Amino acid sequence: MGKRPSFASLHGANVLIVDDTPISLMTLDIILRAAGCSVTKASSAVQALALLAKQAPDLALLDVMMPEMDGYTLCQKLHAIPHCSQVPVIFLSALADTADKVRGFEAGGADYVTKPFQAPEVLARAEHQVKIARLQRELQQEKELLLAKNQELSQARGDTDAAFGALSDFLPGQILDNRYRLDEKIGSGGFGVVYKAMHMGLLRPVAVKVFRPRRGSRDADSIRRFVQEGISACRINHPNAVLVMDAGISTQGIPYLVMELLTGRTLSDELRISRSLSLARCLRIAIPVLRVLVEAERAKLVHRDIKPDNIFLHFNRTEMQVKLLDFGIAKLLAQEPSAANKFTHEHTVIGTPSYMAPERLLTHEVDARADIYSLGVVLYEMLAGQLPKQVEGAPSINSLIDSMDSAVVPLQKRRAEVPDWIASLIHASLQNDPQQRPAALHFLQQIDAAIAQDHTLQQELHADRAQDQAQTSQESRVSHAQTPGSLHAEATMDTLTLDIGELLGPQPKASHGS
Amino acid sequence: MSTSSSAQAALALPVLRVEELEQLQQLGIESGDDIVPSLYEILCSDSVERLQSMQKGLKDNDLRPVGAAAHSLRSSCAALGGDRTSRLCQEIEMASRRSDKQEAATLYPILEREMAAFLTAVEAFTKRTAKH
Repeated sequence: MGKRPSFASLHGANVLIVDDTPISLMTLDIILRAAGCSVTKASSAVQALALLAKQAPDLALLDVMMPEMDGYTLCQKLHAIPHCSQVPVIFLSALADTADKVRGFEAGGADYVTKPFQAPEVLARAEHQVKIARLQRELQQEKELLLAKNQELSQARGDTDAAFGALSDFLPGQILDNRYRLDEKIGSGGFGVVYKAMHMGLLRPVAVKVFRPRRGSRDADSIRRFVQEGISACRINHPNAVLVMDAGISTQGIPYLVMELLTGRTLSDELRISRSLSLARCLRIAIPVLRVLVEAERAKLVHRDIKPDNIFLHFNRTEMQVKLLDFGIAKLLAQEPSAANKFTHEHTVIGTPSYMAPERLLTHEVDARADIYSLGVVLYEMLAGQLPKQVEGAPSINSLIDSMDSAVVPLQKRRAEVPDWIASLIHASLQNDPQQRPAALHFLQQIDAAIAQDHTLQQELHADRAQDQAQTSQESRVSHAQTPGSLHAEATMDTLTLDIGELLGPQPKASHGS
Repeated sequence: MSTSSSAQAALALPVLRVEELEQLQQLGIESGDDIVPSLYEILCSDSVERLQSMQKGLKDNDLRPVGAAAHSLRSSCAALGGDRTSRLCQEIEMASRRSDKQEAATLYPILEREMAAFLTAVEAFTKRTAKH
């Protein structure tokens, strides 16, 4: 006999053998004991069940053909005993037909060895099952540990949120870095709370976004990420992107961003009021966003979270102006990849799943074309009143990945009067392959060309703008009468005329995305 | 396969494949048990019981216990290197399953005879190895 393997994993393993044939019982016993196992023998299923009720073995070797109860039934009864449900079972039988083996697996067996068996084969298979069962137990323990840890973290986060929520109510009146006096809370979200505030030096109203503290948010990476958010946002210099004026961490340790104060509502609010919008309205919102995206592409910035919540319809004294919010989670493509990756490490995917490009859902590298996809979803939603893909239940990253290959419902099927040219552009922007999507500039040029050729659409655009102006001036008259003397930032839809020193009428609803 | 040919195929196999017993003996030494004599004793009593069960089944025209006993004895013989008897048991088990009483009845006396030869061979092995 050559050098036999040691089957080290079997040392000390408790093995139950059930066989009505004494010779088989005895030979298996000797084989397993020689390998260091602790063996329990039963010559019938009934005897085995009595033993199993007391203790679960690490492994059970069951004969198939036995009087009173066959091995398959015994296996099922064994696994029905709560403390034995994970015990691996190997069938040992002279029945060598495929059907018998399949039946063994169907009954819950982990393996099947045909008699006459060879000792090394039995030991190798037994060791394999004992190892798997041991690993499964360890995995289960790890899983339970992780679940407990997760629960602990959720609890801690809940506590932090509660504390932050309570604290955020006390922040009004506080002055950050001797410069920004926090006034009323005007918005809150996953990232933090937005306050209407006052720049104490310039006596100018601003919006200050105070960030929610997160576990480890005081470490160097988190602070760097926070400053990055400010820097990246500042790099977008466009009248249709919210102006970020300052970013920092106050002497009290509060991370904040200072932005221009906006008045109006988000596109989400507008879509809640009118489920779908006219083509003219849709274009008046999409064109400024596309202009920002053209600028962002030039600056190698990706917004990464374009959605109705981040498109703000800012009503200044004379005009409605679209403002794209939250370039805060944008990734600076120009940065070295390793540094850039760190910012997405904390949350593997940051953003809103329903509007995410497939490459973002799959956590692949993204570029400006991911934003085009998101804008395509927004455009589709504005025109159709619903999202382009039907997902069962609440959209999650997993459900959207599953539905990735499902077709987008044709826009004109949901709204027949949508012109072909815009339907084609939207469908092109919703392609899974980023290469198939139009660039922002091309998108914009196509829209410009279509408007230039469509006199009716031009009139509708003017009418929509006039309607906004009428609404704005009405609100402005009311608000001026209420509280004169505030400062404001003024911009038109097409040009930016930011005049910090100009007096602003009171805000009927000061708001800001968070 | 005709009766004679299945019996012929079985008879072509060795009465005892001694390596199987040697291996068991070696395992017994490793775990501190003199196992082969014990196995021989069990085989003697077990085979008598199974053969009687087969004989009764054949007499009663009930092939179910014949097949069950043949199945058990087949495993026992194979475990101890009795290739010939194991094969004969297998043939009887298969004949019983297909309700071929004639085949089972033809093979049974051959099995009885070969079982005696197998037991003699195992006994000789135990005596031979005991001398060492």
